[in-house]
Amino acid sequence: MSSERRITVTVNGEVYERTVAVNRTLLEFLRDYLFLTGAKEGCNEGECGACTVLIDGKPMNSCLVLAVEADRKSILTVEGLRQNGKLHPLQEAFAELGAVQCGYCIPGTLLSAAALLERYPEPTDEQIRRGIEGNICRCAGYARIADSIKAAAKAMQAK
Amino acid sequence: MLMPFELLSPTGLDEAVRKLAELGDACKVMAGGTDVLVSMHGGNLRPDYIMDIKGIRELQEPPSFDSSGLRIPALATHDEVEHIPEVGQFYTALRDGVSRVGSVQTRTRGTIGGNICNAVPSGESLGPLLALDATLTIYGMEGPRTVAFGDFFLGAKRTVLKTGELVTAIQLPPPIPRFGSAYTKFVRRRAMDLALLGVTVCIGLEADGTCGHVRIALTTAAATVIRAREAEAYLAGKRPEAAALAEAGRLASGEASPRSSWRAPAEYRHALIETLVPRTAEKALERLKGRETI
Repeated sequence: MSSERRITVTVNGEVYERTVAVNRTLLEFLRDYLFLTGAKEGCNEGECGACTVLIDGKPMNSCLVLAVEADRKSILTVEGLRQNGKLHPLQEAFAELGAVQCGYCIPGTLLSAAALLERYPEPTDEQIRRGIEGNICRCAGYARIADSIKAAAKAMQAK
Repeated sequence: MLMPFELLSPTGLDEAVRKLAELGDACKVMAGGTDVLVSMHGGNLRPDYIMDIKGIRELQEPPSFDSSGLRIPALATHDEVEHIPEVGQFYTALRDGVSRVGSVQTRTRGTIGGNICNAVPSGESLGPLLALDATLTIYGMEGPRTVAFGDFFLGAKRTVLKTGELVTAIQLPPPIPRFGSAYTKFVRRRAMDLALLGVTVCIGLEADGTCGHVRIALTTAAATVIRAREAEAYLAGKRPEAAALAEAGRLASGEASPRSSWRAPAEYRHALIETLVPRTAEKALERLKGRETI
């Protein structure tokens, strides 16, 4: 039996204090404890990126992070991308340009893209490809995703 | 859900190595978790204890660069190593290596120390570190010791680390003048794929334009990362012209003992070495041109 620990985690700006078993992953914590189901379980071994969240601003696979490792850290999930009731420019662009089909990979891809634009506000094609290399999409494909990221970058620059 | 285990989160180095020595094989050390947790999800690894070493005080030092070279803490993530200014300036092969680990999500999390200690034949930082003459600092119950990078690996997934020891830092020697280095990872998919083959070449040119310092390291070409010493010796003292580089590639291929696997047959890997040694050498020389002196 694994022991439990008390953790304090900031998720999408809200502070949560919970007791969690040490063998639960951050992905399980977000979904099963906080009922934030945006982050998805795909492969559960760090290959597909569907569980990507930002931890202190950096994209990571939440299936490869123990929940207790998120103690005193700040997490951003897709539920927190929206600001003041308005979709994030990335979300706008993904919807506008038809980057989404089944949508399973999209929460993770959006967060990888958000981290990418934080580092490179005007990304090159190569930087975009590299930024989403860890997110596998099996239906709509990458061309529209890449186009959407570019469009969002432009929209954000214009503001 | 992961199998149950007890989590240890030491904050002191002595406390950590004492506990590791006491628990032996029952305890698995975890840094970034990008190998440990993957193996646990797959059910291949079922440790009673996991020791998270990220909270150890003594391991929190930042990278440092001085007259003795570059010191990289073992806990530095691949993403952090990629962005150390001196790595981009003087140790470019290492930048090539760490920037090709897994994906963005694993580079922000996986550590260079973990990549080394996992000791798989395809480890992305291993060829560059071997060719750049790295030294490892290891800490155990008897205090610190240093091991030359080439002496660290005993075989696939086997190292000289004894129970109760941790790799704490990686030391690279000071840059030498007229020096260039590069690493090529040959792979079918850009992200999350293991190198079918990796080649690292470091070349330092003499004033007369001949090769002085030469290092060639091969990744996924044997049970551990290896140096192609015959190819190195052949190039030393010669001008790095196309014919000489091609011959170095042939020699290096002869020194390798790659396995056939579902990823690629051994013959294909031999052919890759022949092609990639000259190609990687050209890249190292191209970079060298940019900085004749340092």
